Amino acid sequence: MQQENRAAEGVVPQLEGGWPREGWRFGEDWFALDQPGLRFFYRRGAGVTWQVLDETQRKAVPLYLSGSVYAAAASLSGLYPLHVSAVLHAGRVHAFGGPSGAGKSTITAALAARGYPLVADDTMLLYLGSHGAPQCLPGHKRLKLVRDAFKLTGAAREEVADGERDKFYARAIADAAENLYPLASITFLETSAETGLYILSSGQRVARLQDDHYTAWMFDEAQRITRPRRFALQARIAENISMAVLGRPKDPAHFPASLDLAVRFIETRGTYDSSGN
Amino acid sequence: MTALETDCIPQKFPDRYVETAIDDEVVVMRLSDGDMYSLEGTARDIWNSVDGQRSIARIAADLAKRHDHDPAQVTADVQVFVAELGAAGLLGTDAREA
Repeated sequence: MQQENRAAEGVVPQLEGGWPREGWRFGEDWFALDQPGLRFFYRRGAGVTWQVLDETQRKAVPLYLSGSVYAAAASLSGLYPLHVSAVLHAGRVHAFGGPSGAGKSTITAALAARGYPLVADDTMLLYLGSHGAPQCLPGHKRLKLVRDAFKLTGAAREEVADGERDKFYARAIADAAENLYPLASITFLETSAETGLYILSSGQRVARLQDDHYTAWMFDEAQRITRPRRFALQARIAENISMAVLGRPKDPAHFPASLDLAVRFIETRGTYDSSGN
Repeated sequence: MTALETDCIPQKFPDRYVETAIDDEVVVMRLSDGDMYSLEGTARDIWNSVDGQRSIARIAADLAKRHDHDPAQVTADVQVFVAELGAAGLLGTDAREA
């Protein structure tokens, strides 16, 4: 496992058929990622080699290693990546999803400040097994927050994590989960006129998993699975967990109310619905 | 859209979709593009009644009896449902009751 996690700077190998241009290529037990000024090559059992072709891009290497490269390596091993941040409550994992900038890390940091142990930030891996709720692997514990989120969450700011998005690392503010725990819920963060939380039906849950195009595509490429097989996997995840949409205005003044809804949802094990349904 | 004749026998195209039942819904995914259809309540009951043997009229009569609903309304619901899923490529309506 240590070898699998190895990441070292070096010269990436030539590929038969050439490197992809600004994209991915997956083989049986390897993948290659070409990005502006950077290349990453992973082979199962040997870990990741990365090469900097443009020094101005060097600072982005840790973000790739903890994000898409991490998710792709896991996908090759049969783990299902989700683009979420997550906390632990009563032995079960509650995750928060949404597009970049939706506030996944911010709400997770605020929950961690209230004592919920952090499970993962930005990318969480699921071990699907053969039945029952998927198990969550503990992931990266250093939350990356935008500048304004430090005031909302009370987290302590450390060094720059992503200059382009004005994100900084936050000092650890709660215990972190270290074991496998079952996934209980995913709450999708959306912008809306009013603050509210509503639970998704089973069909909506499957569709939402399908909406996570990037990670779903990555899993398909790595595992070379068919659409029906992925549908079956997504249906099984949807069958075993609760999902909700948490809508709130962008204005930070509404953050405490949305945080209260998230807490209530978690404390009721994913059954609370503010719309009264 | 012209209403389908009630003697049409709708037939599923099982090579064009996959389906699963979760809670009280049936979720159907069209294989050609991954589009999903969530079928609840009446829609789920109609989908589950399509067996390639019974006509729209017989499906509607069976459902109306089972749920104690107005047969004319249920017939209209089945016609619309079959037409919509036919347009989606999941059902065919070429066969007719003898």
